[in-house]
Amino acid sequence: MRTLILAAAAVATVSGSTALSEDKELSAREAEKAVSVRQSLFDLIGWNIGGLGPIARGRAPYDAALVEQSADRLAQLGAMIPDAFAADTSSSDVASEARPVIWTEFDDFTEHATTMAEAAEEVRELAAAGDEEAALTAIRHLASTCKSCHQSYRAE
Amino acid sequence: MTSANKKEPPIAQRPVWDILIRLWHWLLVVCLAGSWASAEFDRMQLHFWFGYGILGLMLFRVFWGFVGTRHARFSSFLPKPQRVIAYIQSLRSTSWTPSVGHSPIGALAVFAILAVISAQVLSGLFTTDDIFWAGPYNPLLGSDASSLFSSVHRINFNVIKAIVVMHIAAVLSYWFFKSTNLIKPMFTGQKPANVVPEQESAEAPRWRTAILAVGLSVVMVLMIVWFAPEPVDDFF
Repeated sequence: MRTLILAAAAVATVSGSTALSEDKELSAREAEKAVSVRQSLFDLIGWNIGGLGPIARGRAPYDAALVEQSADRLAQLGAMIPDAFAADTSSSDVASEARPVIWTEFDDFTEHATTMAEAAEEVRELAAAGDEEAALTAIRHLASTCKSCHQSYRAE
Repeated sequence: MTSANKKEPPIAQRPVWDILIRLWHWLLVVCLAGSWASAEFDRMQLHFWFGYGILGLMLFRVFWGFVGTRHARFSSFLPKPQRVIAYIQSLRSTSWTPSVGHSPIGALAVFAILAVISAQVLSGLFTTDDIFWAGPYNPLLGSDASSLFSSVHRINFNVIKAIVVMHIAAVLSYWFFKSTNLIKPMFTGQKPANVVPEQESAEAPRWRTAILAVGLSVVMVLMIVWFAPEPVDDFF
């Protein structure tokens, strides 16, 4: 039990995450699972940001409840990103758009994810406070955090 | 410098680039710079507008390549391999003379630029950033094709940057090494009479043809945008 808790703690911290992935080669099945978890996470992120797009572009009416709910989910999903990438699959054959540099620059990668989660949290707070203008600006900032991370860490 | 025709002073100029081709050139510069900057600074709606602008410019250039004035027509500067090779050899010899319209290498560059920029706008119509923005025809694609087109759009931009650098380097080389100013004619439309024999002067554009070519380009862009499929709602 104690080892289990320690392992969980290791996954939760950045240094722990990289240490964990250095410990052993991933089996093909583990790599497949890791990629599948990551892609599922980004499917959920895409699903939740999908509703904010038309609002940010002015194609859909502002809906404070929807914005607050999506942003709340995005903040939680964003916080999962570093953990979901704990396993280094850069040397596996599983098809993935994750660039190997994720695992050599894991601190920076984590910082990008944290910035995104914080941007989502800010949207949630502003939407909850009823500040439509500021929430819209914060949504655009949130989208820019997606883009800047993709530029560095997602294959072209 | 060669002495010009006895009747004309050497500063006399003759028309080479018609007004539409010059406008086209500088509008393309503006739209390329604009679409780069708008993407860089995350003004995507603006990026779409610049892209539609470039699409229209590409269409117009193709029409004008068939019905435009003398040196704008594709048939006048088809880059035949033997001509290109002969021109490259002449560049190092004393027999080199400035071209009236596009030089054979310049002709190659024109077709390369048109192909690469067309590939960029066409792929842009199908591209998505997977966040907020998708080109009008992206909804037609499955996720694999969608990421393929998006990759083409990102990677091909590097080719455009390389071609732009080469284009500018070539123009500056003519200026420094051949004392030939190619920039001024792209504003004035004229080159010195000692470069342009009278029978090779460009004729004035036929206005009815010009209006038709511009109008057709605009209408085609509007139709392409208008008939785009409904955006897919990623949220449900």
